[in-house]
Amino acid sequence: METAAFYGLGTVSVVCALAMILSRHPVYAAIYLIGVLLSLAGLFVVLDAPLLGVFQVLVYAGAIMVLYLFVIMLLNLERESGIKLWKNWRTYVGLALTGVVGIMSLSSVEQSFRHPSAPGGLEPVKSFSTALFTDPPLLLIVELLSVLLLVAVVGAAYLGKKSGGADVAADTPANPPQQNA
Amino acid sequence: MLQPIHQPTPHSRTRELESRMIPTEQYLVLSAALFVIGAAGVLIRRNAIFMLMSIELMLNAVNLAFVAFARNWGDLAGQAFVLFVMTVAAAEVAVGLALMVVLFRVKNTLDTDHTDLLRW
Repeated sequence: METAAFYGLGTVSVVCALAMILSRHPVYAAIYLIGVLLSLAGLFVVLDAPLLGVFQVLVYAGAIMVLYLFVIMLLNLERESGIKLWKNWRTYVGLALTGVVGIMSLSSVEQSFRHPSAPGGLEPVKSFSTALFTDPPLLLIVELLSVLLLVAVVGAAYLGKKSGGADVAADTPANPPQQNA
Repeated sequence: MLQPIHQPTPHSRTRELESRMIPTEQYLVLSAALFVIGAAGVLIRRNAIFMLMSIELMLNAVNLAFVAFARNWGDLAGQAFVLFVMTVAAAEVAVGLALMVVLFRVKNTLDTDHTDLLRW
């Protein structure tokens, strides 16, 4: 059961990932990325993390990818044309560097891990949530991340503001922010 | 530090279950493969939105490794860190896409070769 799920979902994720980086149209790339995210959500469920699988579907495939598609549609990005990926020297430098990364990461996969513990016992979701909100280091990180999210929201709102963009465009010292009607 | 996910079980049952489980190394190989594909995407594509999506792919590959290790050691800290990575990714996407909207408004392209305002 786990074997079939692992090989099926793993194949889907790798194929979708390759299709994503090689596709020309941003919308297709986003859809392939959603395929990767959904198959990884399935793998999370197989790996005894059903809560993370649900979060993966809700937060990643739901919220974040909708944001991507929204921006792609907003900017009206078309299919890339006139880009010869295989005639650019940078592609080959990139692939060589990727090969180095791949060799490094694969060579660090050791063969001596303890065997996985068998399922059963504690409720995963309950113990996970309890640990997240009672363990002091994790609780500190949760609080810091809430501040990070607030900062990101403020930053995104500031960048999205029309006058903020105009300042960058004019490349001049900061104009006083204009009041929008 | 944290409670293990699973209570230890009798030896015979553990052995029987282990024979049907995928070992952690195979999950790590899959994670490394996805990470490498994401790195290739960042390195060979010149479109900012493709690069951001490839970074998402790399973050997800790391998440898979975290979850695999969480099961391997029976420690919930790995799963907690996946949640943190997701949060950071959401923040990164919000700011990154806002930057892209501004970039498109200024330069009318997302090609990073044409984004050289701060380059010398």
